[in-house]
Amino acid sequence: MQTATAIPSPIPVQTTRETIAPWYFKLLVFGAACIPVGALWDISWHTTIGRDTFWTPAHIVTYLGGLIPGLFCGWLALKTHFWGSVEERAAAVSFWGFRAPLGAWITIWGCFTMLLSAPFDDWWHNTYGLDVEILSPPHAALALGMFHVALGVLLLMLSVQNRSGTSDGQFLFILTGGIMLLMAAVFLTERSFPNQHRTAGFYKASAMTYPLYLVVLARASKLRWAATIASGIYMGGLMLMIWILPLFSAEPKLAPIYNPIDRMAPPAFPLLLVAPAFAIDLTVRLIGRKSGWLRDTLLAVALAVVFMAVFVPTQWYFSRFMLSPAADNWFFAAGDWVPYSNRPGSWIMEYWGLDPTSRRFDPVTWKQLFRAACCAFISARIGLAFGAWMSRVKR
Amino acid sequence: MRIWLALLLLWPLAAAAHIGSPNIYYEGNAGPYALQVIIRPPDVIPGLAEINVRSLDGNVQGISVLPARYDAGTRGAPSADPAKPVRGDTNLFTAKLWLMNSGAYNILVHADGAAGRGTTVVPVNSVATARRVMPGGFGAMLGVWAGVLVLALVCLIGSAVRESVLPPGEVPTRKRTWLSRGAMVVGAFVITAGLWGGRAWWKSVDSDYRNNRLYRADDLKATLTTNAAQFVLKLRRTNERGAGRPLVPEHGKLMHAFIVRQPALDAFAHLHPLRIDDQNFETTLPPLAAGNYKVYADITHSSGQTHTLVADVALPENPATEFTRADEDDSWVASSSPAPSDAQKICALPNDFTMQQVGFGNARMQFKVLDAKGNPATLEPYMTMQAHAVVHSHDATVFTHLHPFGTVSMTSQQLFAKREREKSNKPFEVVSGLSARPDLIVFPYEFPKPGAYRVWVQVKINGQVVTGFFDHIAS
Repeated sequence: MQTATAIPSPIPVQTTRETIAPWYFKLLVFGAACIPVGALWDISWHTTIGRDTFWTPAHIVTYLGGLIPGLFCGWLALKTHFWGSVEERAAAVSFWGFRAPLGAWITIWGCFTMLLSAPFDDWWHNTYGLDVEILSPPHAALALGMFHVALGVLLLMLSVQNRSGTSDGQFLFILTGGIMLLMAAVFLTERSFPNQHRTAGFYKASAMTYPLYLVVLARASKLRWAATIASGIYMGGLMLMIWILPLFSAEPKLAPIYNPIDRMAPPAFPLLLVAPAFAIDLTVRLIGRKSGWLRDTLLAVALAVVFMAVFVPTQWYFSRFMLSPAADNWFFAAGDWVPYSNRPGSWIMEYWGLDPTSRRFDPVTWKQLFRAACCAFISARIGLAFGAWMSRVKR
Repeated sequence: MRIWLALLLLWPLAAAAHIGSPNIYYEGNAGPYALQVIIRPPDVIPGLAEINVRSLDGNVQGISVLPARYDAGTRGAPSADPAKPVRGDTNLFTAKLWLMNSGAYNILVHADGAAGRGTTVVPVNSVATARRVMPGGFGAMLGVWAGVLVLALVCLIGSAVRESVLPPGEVPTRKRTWLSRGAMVVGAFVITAGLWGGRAWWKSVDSDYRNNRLYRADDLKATLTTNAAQFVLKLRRTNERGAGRPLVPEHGKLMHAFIVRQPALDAFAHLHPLRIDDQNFETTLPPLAAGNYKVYADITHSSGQTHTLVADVALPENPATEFTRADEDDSWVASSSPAPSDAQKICALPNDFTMQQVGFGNARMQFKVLDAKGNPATLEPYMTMQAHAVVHSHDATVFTHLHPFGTVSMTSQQLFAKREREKSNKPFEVVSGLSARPDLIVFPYEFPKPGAYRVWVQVKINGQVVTGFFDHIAS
């Protein structure tokens, strides 16, 4: 199925302005950014208004997130294969007999996966009822598609950056990394409310997810504080949504309404990922310059320990603040994420999962923390391997 | 076979207060306006309910509707949605509303016209009843699509390992080519594991839907004992999901039990078992012919949600020479076997009264009761109603107990109005149904599917409950 098209000889690396930062990169990043923005807007829509259609503004922004990168990458693939110069075809990979940059193929794949999720989601609604939740199988298929759309954009930029040998376009790369981090955080929303920051489930889910992204960025980027900057972008993006969404009046359109909201509900305040990201950046800078199987494995252990040592106490104590009256303001918007369909009560400002009689009892124990650390190790190890590969991607 | 199985699974398992007849029919006054309301509730929750409202007097200019769950009331309801006039019919309006939670909902229908605004309330049981399987063609399409995507992803992994890190133009070495093949194999395993995990996730959602979200009426167990030479029917209801809310009386009775001989449908009783405790009820049985019977027990919870529980019981020959009614409103009738067609339009009643079928159509079943001279009989209220009807399909897949105002629960309406008064301290009244016509009995109803049905109609004349029966072939 795969054919390694014979190219007569290596093509000299081009470092012209065009090859470093093609004009459409900014458009691709904008498209990728539409995905988490649309998703967060849609969550707010369901939290506040409830009723939606295919054409809500939030949905349209999400579709743009798939459509813009998908169409451009489709165009890029056609152009590269049929009308590309020798250099362009040489800087491509073959896939089913066609040649195009790897990132373009991955973005196209993500678009088709997003498309697949649409009829699946529709059937799901007709079979099990409207899934008013983030985590459901069709939504996971959609998220997988979204992830690959953004990953493709990331790889496109990386390939140009790595070919040029300069750090031009690095900000777009980190911006895309931050967008992907935001997407991952959106997917984990239902496990990441401040009320859950003293449950083992939250730490395990976070340890499974965030080290992977942070370590990949720290290793693949040529910038010094890549993971920290990407975390800042994640936090900044989420905070902007927290501050902007409530500026718009809205009211629930579905019954029962237990919490009469009169403005768009914001998401919960972001995790303070800059803290573990800074520690990861520092660790990679200090002991992670060289790579190798054993070296990376030991480094992953160190990164897992560092991540847990910084992330757990940070969220442990920050959540206490988030559940206090001091956080009940426009900046932190504590508790403002509560949907119209939930009865207001003291539970909004309490920790969950700490009642031993509850089915959801999930306390943080040393054993659970060890398991979370193991998750962080696996996540970091995959991140190192993936990051090492990404730092060498040239096509 | 698969298609039939799919169709069978598509058919609603139950419709809460009725069996196999999920749509809701209601006729009543909204202030000065007479309305007919037909609601097709969703069969999965959350889902969309379709609401059709017809002005029976033709004096309504606009209709708006809103859903209110029993525990939130109108204070927890969104603003009303205007219903759209149906093109070509100036008196018909249609709207769609989301029912988000399971439980008792009430659809408030506002009618606006020259005489101001009038409101009526139509109770709806919001329950998931559908058990769907993915249609074969659709599943195949998704499967092929997903398969192509998986294959593409495996190939992309191969391309990534083989070529992506090479400088432009460099040809992959043999070693790298083999490495990419290895990566494809590993990738295929990882993707397969991911798909396996997704399948397990899907199965757990399906299991949760079946076990916790899909509507399941209480189990009903019917047993027969003898007491002073009379048969006593004992009914015990159980539900592994819990007993639910307490029961409330529906037009004066905690339970309305209908006993129908199967498959002949030639013996029918409408009884009101006495409550022993929340789970147990019992009643004496009238002298019915021996045979296999289905017991349909209608109950109403304090939330306003109604349920029809079903049990089977076999009756031997009844040795009793006398029968003591457990409840003064108990009634029964022995009749002929169902006619093979719907030719029978007149049913003879005791004392030379007759009941006539006037017509089935336009979402209405209409009957007349005439005396020996052909004049309309004077009907007395039977459990506060002008008449009661029971619709039973010959194949026993449909059972509905309804009244001249429709298939809804009057108690649900009144409970909702009471809660509204208590919460808002403002008057809130609901008048169930239209003013009864002395010469005509009208039941708003449509047969839910083609097939043969028997309809029993009960009225009270001169202090005696009489039952007419009709057969109908719905096309």
